[in-house]
Amino acid sequence: MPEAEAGTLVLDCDELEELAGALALGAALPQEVAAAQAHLDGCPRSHTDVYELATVARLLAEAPEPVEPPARLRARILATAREDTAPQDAPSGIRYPVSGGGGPVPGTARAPAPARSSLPRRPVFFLLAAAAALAALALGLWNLQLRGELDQRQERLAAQQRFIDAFAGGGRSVAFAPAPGQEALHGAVVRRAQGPALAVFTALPRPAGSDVYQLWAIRGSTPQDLGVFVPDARGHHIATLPDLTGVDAVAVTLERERVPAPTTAPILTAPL
Amino acid sequence: MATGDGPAVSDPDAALLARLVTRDEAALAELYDRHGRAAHALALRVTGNAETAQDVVQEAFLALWRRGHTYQPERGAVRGWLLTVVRNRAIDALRGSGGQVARVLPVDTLVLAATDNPEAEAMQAVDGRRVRAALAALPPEQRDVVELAYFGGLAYPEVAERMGIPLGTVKSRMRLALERLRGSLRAWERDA
Repeated sequence: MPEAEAGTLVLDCDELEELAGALALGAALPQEVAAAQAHLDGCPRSHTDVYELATVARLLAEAPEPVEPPARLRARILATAREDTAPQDAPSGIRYPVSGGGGPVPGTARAPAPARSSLPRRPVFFLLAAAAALAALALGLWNLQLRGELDQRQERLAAQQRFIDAFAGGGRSVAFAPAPGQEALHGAVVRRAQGPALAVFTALPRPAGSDVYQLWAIRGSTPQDLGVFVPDARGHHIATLPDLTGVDAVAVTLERERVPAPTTAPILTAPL
Repeated sequence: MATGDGPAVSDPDAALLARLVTRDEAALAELYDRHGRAAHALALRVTGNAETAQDVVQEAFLALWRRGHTYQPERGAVRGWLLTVVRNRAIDALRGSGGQVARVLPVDTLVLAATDNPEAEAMQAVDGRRVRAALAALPPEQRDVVELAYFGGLAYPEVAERMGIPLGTVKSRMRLALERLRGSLRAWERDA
């Protein structure tokens, strides 16, 4: 199988067809999956077989003889859901092929270190009614608070940008655009006058548990793994990036562990 | 389980999933009643451990609970989506959680939209008994590669090593096995 520049695997039509069974069974190697996706994205042939075999493979999930789970499992799931107050993840508009990976559902952005609310849960209609009644009173106060928060945020962002500019050393930087709901996150891809490019993060909360941030170079719709990291206690992290020639964007996802393909939508994206 | 031993052609689950956005526990209970048995059977088949299987099923349903609103109908039925999550998590559990990079990617890694193809869409309605029968009818050498890869979570080079056969043979057997399964399932669909 030919290797394109920068070690990227490229599959031709025959190689893709040869790999179709392994791809469908989830038994191909990560670089082959990425190459297959890239091929399918750009190939004028329909490669119907590849899709059909994947459909057949999905049906294998139905093959095991049904086994009645213990009754306590149902109760346990419902009790855990009842106690679960973690906010639902906000959908992101950014899409690229993502793996299930046992993690979050495709197309989602997992909020970093989600804060658990201590508020008691109430019916939605109650919350809506209460919100409507309080809205007029709250609006004025909220406006004042928001203005103050915006000032503080702009000051903080300016300080963070100065930090990033110091790395650029005459080069240029491209700020990461945060996904909706992730506006507090901040960082930039710094293409320095000399030396390798950097990804500089100045405000990333430490992920919950053993979660990690993962960096990706996006070419077209194909993400390439650039490694994982956890920022320091101040939310800072600096990563050295490879040659970005031909890279359309650098993105960051939050993952349970290093994964060969993203399982969540990016929380930060820097278009290059 | 309301759908018996297989998925429904239409997908009433999508409506249940939508109710999860409002934290409707009854909807979650109904989804569990419809698919809990299949999810548990799959998790048990992959992990081979009752306790681990129950943990896997719980994680999968909580994933629905928290992220059900991100379901994309174009990627297939809710049941298929749920079972894919179950399989992926079961394989994660099988491989351990020591931070090792998973070498095997899930079945839906590629954007393989079954609904692009009416025939494939019809095949979503195939029930478990037929899949089991089709799998059992495969030549043993083809069935072995499918089982090691799909239920064992092995990448094809690992399958080759385990079986002591060349990589190309494994890839070829995987493809032939799925083609044969497709043929069997299509024949049943036609007869039905």
